[in-house]
Amino acid sequence: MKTIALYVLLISLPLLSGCWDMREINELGLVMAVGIDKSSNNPDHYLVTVQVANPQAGGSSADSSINRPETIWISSAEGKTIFEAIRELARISSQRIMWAHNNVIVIGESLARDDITPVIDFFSHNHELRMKTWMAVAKGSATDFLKAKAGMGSIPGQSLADMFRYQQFTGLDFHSNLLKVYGDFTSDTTNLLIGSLSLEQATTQAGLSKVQENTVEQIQMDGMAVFDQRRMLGYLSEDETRGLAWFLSENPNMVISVPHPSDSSESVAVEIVAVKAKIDSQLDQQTPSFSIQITGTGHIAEEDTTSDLSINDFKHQMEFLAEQQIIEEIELGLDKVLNVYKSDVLGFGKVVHSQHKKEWNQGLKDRWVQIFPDVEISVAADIEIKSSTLNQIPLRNYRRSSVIDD
Amino acid sequence: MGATGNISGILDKDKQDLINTIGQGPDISYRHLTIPSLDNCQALIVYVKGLANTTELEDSIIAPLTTPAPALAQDAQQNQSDKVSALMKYGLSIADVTPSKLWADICDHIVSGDSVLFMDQSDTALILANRGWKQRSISEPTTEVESRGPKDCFLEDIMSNMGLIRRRIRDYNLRFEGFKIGDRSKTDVVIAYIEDLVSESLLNEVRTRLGRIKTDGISNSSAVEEYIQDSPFSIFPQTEHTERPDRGAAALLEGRIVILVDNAPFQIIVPATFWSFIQVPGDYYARYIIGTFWRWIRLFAIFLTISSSSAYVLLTSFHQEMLPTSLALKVAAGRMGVPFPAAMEAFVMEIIFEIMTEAGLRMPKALGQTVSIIGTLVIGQGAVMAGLVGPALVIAVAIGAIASFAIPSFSMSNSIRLLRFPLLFSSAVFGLFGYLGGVILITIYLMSLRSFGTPFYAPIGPFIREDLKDTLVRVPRWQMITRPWFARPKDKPRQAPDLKPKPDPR
Repeated sequence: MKTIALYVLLISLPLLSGCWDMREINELGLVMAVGIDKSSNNPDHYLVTVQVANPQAGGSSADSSINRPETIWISSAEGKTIFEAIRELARISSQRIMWAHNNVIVIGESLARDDITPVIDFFSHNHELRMKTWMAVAKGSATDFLKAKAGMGSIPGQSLADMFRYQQFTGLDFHSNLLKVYGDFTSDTTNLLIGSLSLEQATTQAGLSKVQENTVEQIQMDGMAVFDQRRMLGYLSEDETRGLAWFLSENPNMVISVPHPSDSSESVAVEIVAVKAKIDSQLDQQTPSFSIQITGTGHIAEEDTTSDLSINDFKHQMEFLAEQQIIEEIELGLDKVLNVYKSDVLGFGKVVHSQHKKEWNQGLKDRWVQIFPDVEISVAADIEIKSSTLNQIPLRNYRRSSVIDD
Repeated sequence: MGATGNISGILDKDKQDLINTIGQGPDISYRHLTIPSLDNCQALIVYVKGLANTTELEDSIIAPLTTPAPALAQDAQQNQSDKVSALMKYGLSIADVTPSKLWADICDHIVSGDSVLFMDQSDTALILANRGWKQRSISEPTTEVESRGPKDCFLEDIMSNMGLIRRRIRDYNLRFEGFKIGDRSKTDVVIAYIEDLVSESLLNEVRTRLGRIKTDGISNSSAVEEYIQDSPFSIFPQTEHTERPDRGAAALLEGRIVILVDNAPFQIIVPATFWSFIQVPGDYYARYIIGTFWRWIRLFAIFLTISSSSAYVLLTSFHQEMLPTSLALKVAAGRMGVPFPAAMEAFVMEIIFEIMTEAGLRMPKALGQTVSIIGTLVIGQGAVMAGLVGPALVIAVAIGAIASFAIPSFSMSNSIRLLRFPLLFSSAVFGLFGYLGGVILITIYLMSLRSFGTPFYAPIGPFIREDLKDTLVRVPRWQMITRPWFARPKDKPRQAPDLKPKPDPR
């Protein structure tokens, strides 16, 4: 009798619980990108725009009929809080909104200038969202950016994520994702540095056969947005971002062009690889000063003119010029951060904290916001051009020698 | 009211008793003859027509008996009463002759295919072993095919099967021990073992378990299996079976016991472990790296068999975040407009697959193409085109189906295929937790099983380090220095420890 009762209980356990958590994949709207703005009607409200993938378009590639549905579905909703706005979305969406596949969170400029806290708070609370979601500040309204074209892919949200991913090839790999942003946001000293996007007019041509060209708005990566604790202060241009990338980027392998040693109107492109940045802090009279030491290896990538210099002379001059160029770039970026924004987005506070723990805890921590703009920073670079690229004769030299032969 | 006790020695009475016992059917022949060399003694030969070798009977028994033989006559005259020994010395040119007085013995031999010679005024009959019936010749194995291995295969005839084993192991210690099981079928069951390898307790256990079978008839070796298993209700087979004599011989050399059953081409090997169901002789016939690779492929096939449709259900219904985005979109696109929930879709497709398997097995061979066309086109293509199932599910079910056929043992493959359904059910109810819970329960269950006292999951379940050489990997031959532990062989080392080929030190 007891055994029978046990079996009945065991069997009813799965049967009664049913499939409460079950949701079919085709009933879900997979969010590819989300944009958050301040509402234009009511400044206290948020405007949430989602870009949802429509699987039917990307599904069976066999039928390339003309009546192909749109690849994405874009919709907006307002609410007093972000969560409320998202709940509002359910009133217009036929699919259940699912966040797990979200690629990018785009924050509108006006919201970023006001307060970014609710955005970080909501998305780090959300258990569905991955902490690896990219974050960006839009130069304008986030809604416009979600409607714009990005890259080549059919789903802009995915293409945008790919653009973030491929920043490692430009060296500007700041890892501006939710995890990093959340970490910086909760840290005592470091302020947020989030990638920013802008729209550019681009001409596209649909297929070879069509002569007609369309002008569309296309998203491009455009520098970084600098925050103080919770408000955006302004942007760094692409050049200023490059300057910070030398010591902040995860993968700072960049191409610099320096004037040619024998003809300063021509340029030599040098690819700097294996870049190591070392930041040291010294404390004298409680005012920290910093030194940034960049080391790296250069490869000559492109040489636009002929040269009569010996390889050794060329190497030494090139190294000097490259180092100068790097220092110049870095100082451009530092200047903007220290003198215009006065916000420690560089993580220098962390450096002092780890290198001078005692002094940091004895009051330096509390005064850091005031001290930071006045710190002394010296920059040094040590580049060695040691590759075999030095031995390769520029293409123009062949041309000259053939002239002589004639 | 059959005859019991001893034969009477009066020919007419004995014949009548015999007719009362085994009847007078058209297949039983009572052949009267007179033996001229024994003072024209009246004699009777009884045999079953379909079982006895008639040619041998004519040439080696009836011909010498009915021809006057001076040596026989002289010997019979010298020892007046003892016709039997005289006949055995001079009268018969057949190899195997046994005198017997017991009715039970005599009748058993007649229905087994031997001929029996009764003589008037003799209280002893002669059992003449001239069994010889139509049987198929040794053919290639059909279910355990190996590309590089012996091509012979056990037959239905137990004598030939013992010969096939004896030909591989010429050890004097190879023993065959006979049982008769079944009150009516009287099936011969023989256990084969190597006396100085096999563990005494295992041997006694096999004897006891076989001895306690009291039934009317044994139709196949699987019937014996059912009577002797440790966990009779289990879904898993706990005894190995094989139709390959090389596999049987290899088991004997490990100190295991082979149970041969008459009229069954599959012989039983005990004890078995879970891992012996994923091992095939081909592992040892190929290079050891290849053999190891194949084993992993088979393990992966087991995993795919039980998981493919469950994984589809739990990924599409519960954990969509575990799919890469582009795959999630593809699957969602395929499922657009599918009217059923994924769990039901998967369940129905699995059932249809099982029906197709069963149909392919049961129907006449001539219809084979029809099933494959209907199966692939109508169910595979048609259901997807009609939007009744998603294409991803068809792929998942097909992968599971193909994988189940990569499990070498047919009985294990069936068990594992059946386990897909409970796993599918628990995945559909609890998602990944249900799936993992199911897999953990199955593993725990496997570890709790025993086969003739040996832990079924050994050497992983109880961890036996030195047996790992032939479980998940197959090490080179010269490294298999000891016999596997699980059969508890009396003699552990099986070869010299330094057999790795190397250049001569000179």
